[in-house]
Amino acid sequence: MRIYKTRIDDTLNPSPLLLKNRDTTPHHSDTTPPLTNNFGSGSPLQHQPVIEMIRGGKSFVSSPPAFSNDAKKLLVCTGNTVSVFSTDTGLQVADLEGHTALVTSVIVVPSSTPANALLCYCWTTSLDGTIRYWDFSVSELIKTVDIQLPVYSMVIPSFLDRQSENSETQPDTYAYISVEDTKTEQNKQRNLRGQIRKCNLSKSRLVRGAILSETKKPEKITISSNGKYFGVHEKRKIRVWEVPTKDGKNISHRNIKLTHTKNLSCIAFHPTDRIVAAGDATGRILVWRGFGDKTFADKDLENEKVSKDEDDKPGVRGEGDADSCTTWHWHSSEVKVLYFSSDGAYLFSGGKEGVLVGWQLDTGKKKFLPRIGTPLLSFTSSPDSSLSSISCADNRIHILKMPRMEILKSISGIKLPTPVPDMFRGSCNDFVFDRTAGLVAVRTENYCIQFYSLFDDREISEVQVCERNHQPSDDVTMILNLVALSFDGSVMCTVETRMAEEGIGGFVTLKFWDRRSQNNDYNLSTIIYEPHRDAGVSAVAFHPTRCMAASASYGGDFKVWVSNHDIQPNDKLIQRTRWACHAVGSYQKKPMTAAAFSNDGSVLAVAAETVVTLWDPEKNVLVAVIGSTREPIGNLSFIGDSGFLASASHGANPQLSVWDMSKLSVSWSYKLHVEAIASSDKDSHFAVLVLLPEPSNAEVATSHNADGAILLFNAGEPVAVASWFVTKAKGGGLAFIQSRSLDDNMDENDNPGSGLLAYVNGDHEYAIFNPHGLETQERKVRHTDSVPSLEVTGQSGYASIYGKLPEFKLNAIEASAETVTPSERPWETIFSGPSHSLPPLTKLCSAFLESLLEKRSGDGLVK
Amino acid sequence: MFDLYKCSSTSIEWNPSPIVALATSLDESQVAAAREDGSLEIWLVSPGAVGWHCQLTIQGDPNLRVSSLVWCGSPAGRLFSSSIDGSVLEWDLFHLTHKVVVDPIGVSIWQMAAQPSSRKQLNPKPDLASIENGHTIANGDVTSESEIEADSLELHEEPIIENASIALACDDGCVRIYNTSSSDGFTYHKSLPRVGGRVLSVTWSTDAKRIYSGSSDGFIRCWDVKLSHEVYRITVGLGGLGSMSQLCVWSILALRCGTLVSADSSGSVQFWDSSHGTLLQAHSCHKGDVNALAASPSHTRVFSAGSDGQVILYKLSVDKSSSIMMKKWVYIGYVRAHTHDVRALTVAVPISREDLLPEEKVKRARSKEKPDFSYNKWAHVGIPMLISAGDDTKLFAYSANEFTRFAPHDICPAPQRPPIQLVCRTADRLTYLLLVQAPHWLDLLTVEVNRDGGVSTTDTVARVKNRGLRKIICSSISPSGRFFAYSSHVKPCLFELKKNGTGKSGWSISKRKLPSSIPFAHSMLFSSDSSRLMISGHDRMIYVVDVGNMELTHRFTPCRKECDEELPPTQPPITKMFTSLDGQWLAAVNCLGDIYIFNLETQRQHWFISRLDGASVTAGGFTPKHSNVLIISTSSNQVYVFDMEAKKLGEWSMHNTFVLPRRYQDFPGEVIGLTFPPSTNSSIVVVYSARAMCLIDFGMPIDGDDDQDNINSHDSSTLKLKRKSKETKNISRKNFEFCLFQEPVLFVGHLSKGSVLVLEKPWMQVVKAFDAQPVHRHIYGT
Repeated sequence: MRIYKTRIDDTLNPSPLLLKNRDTTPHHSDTTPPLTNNFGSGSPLQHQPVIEMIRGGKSFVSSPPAFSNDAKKLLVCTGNTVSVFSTDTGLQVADLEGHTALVTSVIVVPSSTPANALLCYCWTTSLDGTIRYWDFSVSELIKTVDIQLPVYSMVIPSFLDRQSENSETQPDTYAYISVEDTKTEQNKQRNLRGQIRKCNLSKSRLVRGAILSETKKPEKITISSNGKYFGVHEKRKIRVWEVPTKDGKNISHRNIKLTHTKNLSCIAFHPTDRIVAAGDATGRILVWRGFGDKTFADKDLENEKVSKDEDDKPGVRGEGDADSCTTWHWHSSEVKVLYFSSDGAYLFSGGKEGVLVGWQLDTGKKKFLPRIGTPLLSFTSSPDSSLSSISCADNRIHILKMPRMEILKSISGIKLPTPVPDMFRGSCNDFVFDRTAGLVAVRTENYCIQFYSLFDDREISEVQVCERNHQPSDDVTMILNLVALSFDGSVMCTVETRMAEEGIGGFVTLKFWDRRSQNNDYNLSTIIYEPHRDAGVSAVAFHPTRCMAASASYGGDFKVWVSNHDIQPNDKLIQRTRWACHAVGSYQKKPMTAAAFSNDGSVLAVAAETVVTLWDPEKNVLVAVIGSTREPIGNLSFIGDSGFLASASHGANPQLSVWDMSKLSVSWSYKLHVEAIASSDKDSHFAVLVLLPEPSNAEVATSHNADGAILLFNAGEPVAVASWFVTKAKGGGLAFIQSRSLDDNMDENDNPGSGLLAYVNGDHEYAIFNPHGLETQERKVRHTDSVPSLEVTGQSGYASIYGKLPEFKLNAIEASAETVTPSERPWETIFSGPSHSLPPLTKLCSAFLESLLEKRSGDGLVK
Repeated sequence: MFDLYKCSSTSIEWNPSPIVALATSLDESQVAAAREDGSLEIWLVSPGAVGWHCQLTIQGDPNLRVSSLVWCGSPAGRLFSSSIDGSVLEWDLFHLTHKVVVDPIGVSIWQMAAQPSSRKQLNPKPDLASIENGHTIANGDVTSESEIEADSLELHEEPIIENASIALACDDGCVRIYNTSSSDGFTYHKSLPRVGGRVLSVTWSTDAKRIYSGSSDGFIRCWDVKLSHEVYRITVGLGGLGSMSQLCVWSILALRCGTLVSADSSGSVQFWDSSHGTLLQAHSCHKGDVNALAASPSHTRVFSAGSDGQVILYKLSVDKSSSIMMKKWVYIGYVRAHTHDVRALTVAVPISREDLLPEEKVKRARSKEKPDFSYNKWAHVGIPMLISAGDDTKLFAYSANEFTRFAPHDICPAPQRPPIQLVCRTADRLTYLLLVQAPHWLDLLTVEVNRDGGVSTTDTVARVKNRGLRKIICSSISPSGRFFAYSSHVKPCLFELKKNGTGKSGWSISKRKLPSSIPFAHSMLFSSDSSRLMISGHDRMIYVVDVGNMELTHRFTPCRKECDEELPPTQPPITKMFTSLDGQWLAAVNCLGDIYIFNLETQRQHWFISRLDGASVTAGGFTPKHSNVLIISTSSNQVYVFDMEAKKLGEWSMHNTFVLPRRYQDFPGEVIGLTFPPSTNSSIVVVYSARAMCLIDFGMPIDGDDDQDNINSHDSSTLKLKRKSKETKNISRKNFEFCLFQEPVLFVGHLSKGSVLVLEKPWMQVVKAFDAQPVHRHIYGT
């Protein structure tokens, strides 16, 4: 996601969309051209678009992660950066920045001896055409190899070959990379864009002429863990190359092909034997044993092989050079994950079912890790093989204790948008913001609400709204439509629709949830079945101060709900809130499409298709009806204290209108396709997220790859104060959120109270910035604030080898972990406790030193 | 060309019986299948284009439940079956009878295994192949497949008479050993010490020195045959202790490499080192009991099948990448063809017949080169194939070498098809009568032909039940519809059908007494004028009875030479008979395919036709156009036309038999009948199987030559294209036109010159009537 701040009259000067809108807007009462931007016009920094900004919400699962050599860190490709997570705590400790496009793979340089297990070097590849070499312990870029072709995948065989370490002169490091050749014209004609090439990393150049294969699109390279073979799958065949034992310049690469009748989706190599496994699109797993007996065998052995009968290759198709091919079938749909355990006894597989299956290779016995609840994407094992990780499609990485397949920790990113059936597209919101706490509540696929901290870029909690198992079937039986949060975040309201099965049993449920004190657990307080008979709920709005909510329905009415606390006399601790219907209103039986409370809560605005009805929520009296738009209004928002109401309507004639509440008439309007409206609490600013119409703005869109814009307005004036171009605006959202009291350095220089503007795009990547700030200075999320720095010592090798330390010491560590602020000196507590229960000094030393290192890097980040 | 009247009648009962045991004959050319109702079928193993043919059916005792089949003894092969009631039967394939060789011993016999021939080591001929495991495997040969082909011509040269021992796995925990000798003996030899549990499976080691027995308490015991003591014991799994359910070892297989394979009720197939009794590999791929095991002739592949309907292949994999040669049995894949439990497996190798005429051989060889169906791609002479059968009453053949690559071949699309005859009762205004022979009764049905194109219906007129529920072997109805007859294995019976009044149930049946001297019959036939009844008795003579006065008019003795006519009968019993319209000729066919022609007027045998290219006769008939023209369809999918007067092949056959179109060679399913239009000037015959029918017009030329041009084209896509264009051509051309059926067809018959009745029965209806439940398959997410 990119955000471009521009002065509107610079880039949008011709501004066809806005000019046209003004002409075609019938209700427009203002004749001033909207593009005269007085904001920042005199600023000298207008050509340096910098705003202090927090970014986050990247996908953790775009590429497989990698473990560090001591398995304490996990390197995750997150967009243009590589984030380093601690496997002990599941929290981010560092990140590697430098790539300018998506990072596609990360390879940790393995340590040859246990002594240098602390080596922290890695290679990364990216679509920006570079391969970079990092020291990830200090987040430092060491070397950059410029390939000038987007690299999709890379393997480095010599890292895995243990023998080559013994040789005195260090040979050149060769890598095999999968690139997309966008330059060669003839390749475009042949429609072969993907290439597998060889690259000399030591000399930072491609090996000339070493194009191993050409494919239609770049494929992922998989390597065997002994570094002898690597292969790719392409459509219905796999190709396996043998890595030359002495890697040089002019080495021919022998390869074999194995074919299948279905499209293959992933491959894996056995660590010791000549076995390759592949998964196909129908869920079958094929295991070829003894592949390449003829091709890869040494010359002197060949005569012996010939004597064996030729057609004794059960299961192997065509001329495939393999001894036999076993087929296993458990998965019901495409196999996405295949991985052999490091001893070669097990094969792990996973797919859309969200079940990790461990196959015992000899007997075919299966064991399962079920209820992951989401499709699996990749599997990585750590060098010590007791830890491994699986990446799931819901942007979550689970760290597994391996022989038992037990989830130790989960690293959760923001959940991805869930696909919504067409019939519910209008009546679903993807996420809502908790403006005070700086959280976003995301509707997830498995009927949960994920609370995600925008400032910390991590998951806070997850609330299961309805109990449903993950099923990989396509027919949706239930859908979570709406989420709403009260202003202080203490009450949540959800709307879910259960589909009718064969015409029976479909209904809508409205649920209210209470948050209990400090922890972020929401408890179900009230369930209302069919709140508006069989009609769907279009919007839920909370009263800003009182425990009151309004729900509008397509059935033509809205209801006002109030909660009454009843404290049970015998047990004072149990406090129950019940929500009950306070009032019902309707206007001309029109479907109610949006609802909003004014900031003081005195007025409830409900959109009845094209008009806005204003109600007194207490007395349930219709106060006024204002205006009409061409299309039904989908969005209503009171703008601070200013007495203006903003409405947005979609459809063929989209419209953004601002209504003057004092005059009960339209103040100004534009013909804009508004995706979201956010208004600040206090002052009269509001921001809208606008989808740019594609054809009229083609050159702008292509130049910035942007398809949307955020426009900041002052309510009374139809001229945008500022604007930013954004990408993936479809399905995005906006909110003003209160900045944290801690990091007051962000908004010290401008008017307080208006807060920061948070933008979440259609892929749930987000950015927080000060809309009134002049400078954009990209700032990282301060993960180090939240990392209890002593965690590392608590999980040092001692506990895993000799069992748990005495109880009281752990307590001490935990207690200190909670209280310790970053400025404290954690290493002092390591040595606390009786000397006989302390681990040996040699063990503690490394942890001690590490904690020191950790500290300093963290300080470096915070600065 | 015809009006097809389809009739899928529910009033025709078709209840095929599950197959409980399979055994391959010693020359691996025949497979014996025992069904639950006590009947035995002999199937000819056929390669390539030729459909499988059920050569023989012997109706056994429905009360005896066969537990295993063993084919052993002299090269001709003696077929024994053990029963749950503890008796052992020998099946006489020549006389089509069975006899009890061991009276019930009081305990159930679960399995039999014949001793592998000890001379095999000296003289590794495939014909000495032993049966290693009662109902599973019959291939102990040490030769490779190529040697089988080379040796196949010597198959019958060495009549080796040897006393083979048979081990019986008995319910009381004993393994009893019986000796067989060629002189009809089946004598008790000794018992191995009695142990706990029931012995469920037994097999011999390949050197015949040891016996392995598996029991219901989860043990495999290894016995020394000479000393009758236990060598060692393998615990397959703990079973039968306390509250745990029993762990039954259902099948054991001893391989030449010294590996012992066991299949048990926990669903696992385990491989053991037989010298030490240690576990090599364990696979638990089955989701239910594993019932049967079989090994390919090379003993490098093992197949297992069980109650989950799967057949699974394991292969001996030699790991060549490491320095030590590691041998390992690996799971390869499964094929699920059966809808119900699989009960039995066996491996057979199709062999070419030695009595193929030389010039025929050349032409057949040419036709074998070009595969059309997938079955043809793998089923070749000398290539082993696996046959499985079970509760869904079907038999499937798989390629043993390319098991997972090709779909299995459905050998019998219509198992235990009820024989049906159609007659037109002209006495009362053209009533079509169907005679359906069920296992224990006869059904008479009238056919209501729906001329408007709808489905024709049938209506039951009468049901004649056999007293004592004996099995009906054969039946016949006279062309006039007035008489019908059947024979159980006690005596034949004749009935007269009368229509009195006009009411719906206005039919009456009266029994007519046949001469008491007539034995029970294998085949019956009325002459075309319904005046005489021909009965081929089990004493291998053909009796001709005048229906009018119930007198025996003549007795034919089929013989190879005409001068032998007065000698006692020596030929195999007649299983099929055809008679000409003018009543002059009677063609009698025995089960091996020899044809005897009798002249009913002169009451002498007219001609003997030796079996045609070694194949059995599947169907035949005299044409209505020329009464002395006999048309025969053989199990190798050839059609022959004989001229009775001239005692030679007919003119058409001389020219055309060896250039029959390729697609006729690939007739889907086994040919089960011929039907002629009831007209004296038509030269058309309709040949049908359960899956297709084909029209042959002898008056038209056949263009078999257009097949030759693409013999050498190996490009499959062009081949397919050509075939498609050819098929479209064929529709316009009338001759050898195929009509495929969706559902299994029981009977096709001409109603009149231009209309054909097709009786079909949806297989799903048949499956619903089974006792056994189909294999339950859990669908993910339900």
